[in-house]
Amino acid sequence: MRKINPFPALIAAFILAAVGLTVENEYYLGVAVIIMIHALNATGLNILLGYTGIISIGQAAFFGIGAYISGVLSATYGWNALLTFPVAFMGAFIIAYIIGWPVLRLHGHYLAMATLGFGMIIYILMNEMDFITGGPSGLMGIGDIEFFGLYFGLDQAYFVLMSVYFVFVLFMLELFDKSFLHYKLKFIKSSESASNSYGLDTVQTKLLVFAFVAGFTAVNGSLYAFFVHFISPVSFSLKYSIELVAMATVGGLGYITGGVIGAVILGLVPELFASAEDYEMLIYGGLLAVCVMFVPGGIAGTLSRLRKKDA
Amino acid sequence: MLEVRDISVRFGGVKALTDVSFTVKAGSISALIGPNGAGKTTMFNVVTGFVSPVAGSVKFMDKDITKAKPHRVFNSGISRTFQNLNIIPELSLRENMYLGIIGRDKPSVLKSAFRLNKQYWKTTSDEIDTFLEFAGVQDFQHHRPSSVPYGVLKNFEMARAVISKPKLLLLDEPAAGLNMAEKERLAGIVRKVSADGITILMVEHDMQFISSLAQYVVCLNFGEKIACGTYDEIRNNQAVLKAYLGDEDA
Repeated sequence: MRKINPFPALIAAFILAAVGLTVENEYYLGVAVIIMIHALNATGLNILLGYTGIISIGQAAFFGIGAYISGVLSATYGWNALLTFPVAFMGAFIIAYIIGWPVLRLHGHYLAMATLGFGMIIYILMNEMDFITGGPSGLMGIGDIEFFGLYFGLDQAYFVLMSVYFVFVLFMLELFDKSFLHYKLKFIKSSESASNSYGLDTVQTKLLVFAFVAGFTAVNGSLYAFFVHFISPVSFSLKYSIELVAMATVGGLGYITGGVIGAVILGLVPELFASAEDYEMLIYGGLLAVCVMFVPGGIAGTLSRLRKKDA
Repeated sequence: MLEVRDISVRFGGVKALTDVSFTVKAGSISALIGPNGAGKTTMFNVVTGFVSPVAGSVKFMDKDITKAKPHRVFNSGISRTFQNLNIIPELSLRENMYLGIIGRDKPSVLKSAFRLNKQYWKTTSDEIDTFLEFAGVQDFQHHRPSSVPYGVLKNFEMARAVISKPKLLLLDEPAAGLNMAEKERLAGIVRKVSADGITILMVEHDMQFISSLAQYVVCLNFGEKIACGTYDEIRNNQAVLKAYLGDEDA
């Protein structure tokens, strides 16, 4: 059993506390919340791609499924926000399990194409099923999160809620990373036949990981819906799926902090270069190309290599 | 212990194996030999569940495992090594040992993540020490496979296979690519494994390696069994000589 490294979670907690105490501008707090949501999604993808070797270009679909389940239950049926989270998780889990049954038998490019197709189908459904989703013009009237007399309608309050959840998830991920699951998934990633002949049920394991990450991504979608109060299919298009792949790759595949680092860097691009909006994709692509060519293992991988050299 | 009966395998129109039968006795060291393309590795893949035969049956300890999936075959007590090693490059050798343990014990995910079974992982760690020493690779345990000599990796693979506590161990070309000294070291490890009561079946080309180890040899050619018996019987068998050396008038 490997030693737990509490620093990533502690550093994140420290930075978030500093931001919460010093930044008063609601807009910037909002940006921080969105970046945290990106970071969680990218981390979910990192577990698929960096640990288990499942390439998924359909993560935006699960994010959207979560957002729409919570959004519709809240806006149309008036459910309490908190109750919609388990429904979003289970909904995405079950859909991913059913999709994964045939799809996860594919590998490499074929799996990428299959998940891409799935993402596009969900995107089209969000647009066309306007009697439920509101179609391209979006879904309005999504309520606020409220429990035990606490009310999270204001951006400051939401920032605190999101920060607590975020640090909690980071700590859980560290526990996951330092448990034997880390090995199990990496064995499956690098050789399914070897894992099979050592008694690991690779099909079942991959299915459960895929479905669990889908559920986790859907919960992020719910958090997103209750934060922005208005969702439309544009937020869950192919573009977002690809952005998540870019975040995980730039940050570092196979490192628990990879998704977070990538999300912070790429999430800040549109904010820092707001005046050069037309070139946003260019900067994105450039960063990705530079990382893939010159920083193998991403930023987290490079940091960990440097640290080992010092030790 | 292992009973292979009338196994036939077809890859499209290619007859990879035709009506092959043999048995492996408990506690023995047996070898499967034959020229390239004879179907030796296919036979291994049938036993371990990677390839489904069109006819015939495989019985292990009186249980039918003909159509069992690879992980079920492992659970019934059969481990194997690979021609191309299959050691995970991004983990150290010591970490690679966990592959032999996770499948064997199937530890609880939640308990392990929340560190409620520290005692179990402590025992496991000691066990890994024992087996690394058993194969004589403890000096390389913190290295990644890319920085370790091939001969050591072969020995390491034995440690990983044995820690999974199999009853039958299948070795796919264990001596391939090794020099004389390394072969002798590996033969020593195979003997130790056998002395521990693990039955061994190997695919091998190296006749000298086989002669020093195997008590029973099965020879395949073009997917058919052409001979079986002790090493000395096989060595003088006309069909085997013909398969390896060609016809006299050729």
